[in-house]
Amino acid sequence: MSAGISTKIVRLGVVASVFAAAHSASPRAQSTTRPLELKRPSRSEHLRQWVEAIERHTAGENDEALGVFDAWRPDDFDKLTIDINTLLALISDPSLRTFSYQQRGPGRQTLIHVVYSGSDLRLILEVARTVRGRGVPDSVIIPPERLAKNRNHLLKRGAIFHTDIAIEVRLGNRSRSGAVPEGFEEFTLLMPDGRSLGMAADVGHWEFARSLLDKVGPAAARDDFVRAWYGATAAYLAALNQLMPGHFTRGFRLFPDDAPLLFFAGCLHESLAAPRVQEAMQSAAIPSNVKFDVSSGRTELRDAESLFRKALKVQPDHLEARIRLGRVLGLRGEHAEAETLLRKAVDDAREPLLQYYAKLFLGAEKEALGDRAQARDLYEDATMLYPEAQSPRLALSLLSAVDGRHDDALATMAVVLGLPGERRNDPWWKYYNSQGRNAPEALGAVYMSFLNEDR
Amino acid sequence: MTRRQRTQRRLVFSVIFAISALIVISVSSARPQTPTFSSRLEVVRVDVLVTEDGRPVRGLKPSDFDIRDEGVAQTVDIVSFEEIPLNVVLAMDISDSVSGDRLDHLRGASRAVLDRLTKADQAGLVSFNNAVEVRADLTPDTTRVRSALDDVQPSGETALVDGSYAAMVLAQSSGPDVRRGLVIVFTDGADTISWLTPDRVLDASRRTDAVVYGVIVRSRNKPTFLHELSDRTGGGMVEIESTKDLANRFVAILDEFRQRYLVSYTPRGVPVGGWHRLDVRIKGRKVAVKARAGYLATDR
Repeated sequence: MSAGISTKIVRLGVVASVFAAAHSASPRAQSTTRPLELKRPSRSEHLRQWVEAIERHTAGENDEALGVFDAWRPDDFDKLTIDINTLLALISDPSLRTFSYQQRGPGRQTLIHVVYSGSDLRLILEVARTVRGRGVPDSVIIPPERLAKNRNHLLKRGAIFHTDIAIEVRLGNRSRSGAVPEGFEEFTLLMPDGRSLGMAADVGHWEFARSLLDKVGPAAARDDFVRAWYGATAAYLAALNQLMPGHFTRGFRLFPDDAPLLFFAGCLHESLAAPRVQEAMQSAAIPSNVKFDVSSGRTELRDAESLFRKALKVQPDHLEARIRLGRVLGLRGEHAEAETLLRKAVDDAREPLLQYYAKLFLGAEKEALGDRAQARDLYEDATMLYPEAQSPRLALSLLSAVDGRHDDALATMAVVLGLPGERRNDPWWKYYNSQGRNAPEALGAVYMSFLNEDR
Repeated sequence: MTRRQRTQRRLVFSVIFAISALIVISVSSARPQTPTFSSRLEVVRVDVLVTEDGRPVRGLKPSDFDIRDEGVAQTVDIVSFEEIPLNVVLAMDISDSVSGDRLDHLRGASRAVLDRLTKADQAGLVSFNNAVEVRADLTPDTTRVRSALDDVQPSGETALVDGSYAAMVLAQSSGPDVRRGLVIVFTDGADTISWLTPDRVLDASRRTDAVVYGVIVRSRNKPTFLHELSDRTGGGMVEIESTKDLANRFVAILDEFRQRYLVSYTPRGVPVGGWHRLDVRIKGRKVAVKARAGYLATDR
C-alpha cells in the first residue's frame, strides 16, 4: 500500500471518530420459493464490467476501476450478486442452463430461480469462458487444477477489489455508493467523540469481499490467502476505527484458532468497552430492524479478556496480546494477574510504543496495588520514551497531588501542558487503533503474495 | 509558546508552590485590607455558601458557624466574606462538537467572567480536547486570558477528567497571598479519552481547596464525574439546554462564589493525618449550607 494511505490512517487515528458497522437483521431459516424474471438486459453487461474492473484494478490503489459502480442503481448491484453466482456455476460447468440463487433478506432467505434472456446468457457464458481459459491455450482442455485456480483467481481478485473500495470510502477518497442493495447494505453508526451523529448506509463491500472468499475452493478454511486476508483486514479495520463485529464472526467460522484474528477480535471488544463507544451507544437512536452488536462495557471487557487469553494460548509469545490482556484485567479489578503479565511485557517489549503502553499500564497496576514508588518510576520511564506525552505526566502529577505536594503536582504537569496541543505526541490517544499501525504493510504483503502466486 | 514564556511559566509555578499547601497555610498576608492568617499554625480553610430561600446570607460572624471536624466541634478563627481575591480557572471543552455558535457563546461567557474580576483577582485558562493545555497561567492581566481565548480552535475528543484535574491543580495554587480557587468546567459531552480515571481525580480533589462548578449541555448521558467532583469540592452543577444564556450562567456562578464565606480554624482534638469529615452549620438558623465534604490532612 502507498505511503499516502498510511499517512491518512495516522491522521484518522488522531481525529479518532469512531465508526461501528453492522449488518441489517441476519437471515433466518425461513425459505420461500418464487420465480423471478429479471428483465433488465444490461445485467450481463454489468457482470462483464465488474469482471473487467477487478482485472484492471491495481491492488492497493485508488484507481479508476474502483469507480465501476458509480452510476449503478441498487437493483443493478442486487443482480450482480446473483450473476456472480451464475458465472461461478458456468465456470465449473458451461453446459448449465438453469440457475438458482439463495437471496438473503431481512429475516429470511429466498430461493430465486434465475431466468436469463438469450443475449444475457450468451454474454455471461462468454465471460465464463474467458475466466475458465485464463492462462490456457484455446485448443487445450483445461485441467481441473487450472480451472480451480482460475475460479479462485476471480474470487480473490474480487475480494481485493471490494476491500480496496471499502478502504477508500472510509478514508474519504471515494464517496459512498448510491446503490445499496438489500442484503448487502451496511449500516454505519457515526460516533465522533462519544456522540451519536446518526447512521449512514452503504454497499457492504466488506461483506461482498467476505462472501466471495467463502466460495474459494477447495475450502476457504484451508486457504492461506483467505486466512491472511482476514488478519490483515482486521488490522485495517482497527486502523480505520471501523468497529465491525460481523467481520470477526465470519472470520472465526473459518479460522477459530487463528492467533492474529483472536487478538484483533479482543482489541475490538476492548474498543467497544471504551467510554467513547459506550457513551455514544447510550445516546444513539437506532432503528428496530438494525442491530449493532455492542454489549455493556463490562461484558465487552469480559469478551476481550477471553479472546486475548485464547490468542495467548495459541501464540504464547504474542507480546501485544499480553499487554492488552494486562490492561483489560486491570480494568476488571484483577490487579495481581495484570501486574504479572505487564511486568513480563515490560521486560520483553522492544518497540518504543509497546514499551510505553506496558510501562504506563504497569504503573497504573502498581498504583492500584499500593506501590506508589514503583508506579512513579514506571511513569517516569514512560515520559523518557515519549517526552511530550501528557498521560504519564498527569499520572505523576496526580501522585504528587494525592501526597499533598502541590508544588510538584503543578510543576510536573506544566512540563507538557504548556506545549501547544498539536505538538503533543501521546500514544495513549491512539491506543484503540494502534493495533492496526502496520495494517497497510500487512495488507500490501497479502496482496503481493497473491499476485506472485497468481502469475 | 516561546521558550521565554515557558521559562516564565516554570518560574510562576515554582513561586506559587514554594509556599502554599492545600489546607496547611503557612503564609502571612502583606495586604492590610485582607484577613491575615497565622504563619506558623496549621489552619484549615473551608469555602462555605450560606443561603436562605436561595439568597446568600450576609453578615455572619465566626461565632455563628458550627464546624465539626470528625464530629469534634472547632473554634472558628476567622471568617472572610468577599475580601479574599480569587483564582478563577476557566476549563473549556474544545472538542470537535464545541464549534460555531457554541464556541462563540463559550468565549462570550468566559469574557463576561473576566470582565467582573477585580484587580486583585487572577484568572487562568485551561482547554481540553485530547490535549489538555494551560493556555494562560494564573495572571491578574486578563488581556492575556482574552487573547488565549481567541486562539482556541475546536477539534478532537474530550479529555474531561484530565482537563478538570489540571484546572483544579492550577486554581489551587496561591502565591504569598491567600486566594480562593474557583474552577468553572464547561463541557458538552462525556469523557472519551482521558488517561486519569474519575476515581483517582476525585481522590485528588480531597487534597485541594479549589471549588469546582460544572456547566454541561444536557444530553442523554449522565454527567456523573462532573457532578461528583462539584459535589465533593462544595461547588455546584449547572445543566443547560442551550449555550445561548451561557454568559449569565457563568456570571451567576462567579457571583455565588463571591458570596461565599472563607472560614478557617485550627484543628483541635482530631487525628493529625488522613481524611477528615466536615460538617458545617449555622447556629440557630435554618439555612442551606454548602461546603466541601471533608479534607485530607497530611501526616506530619
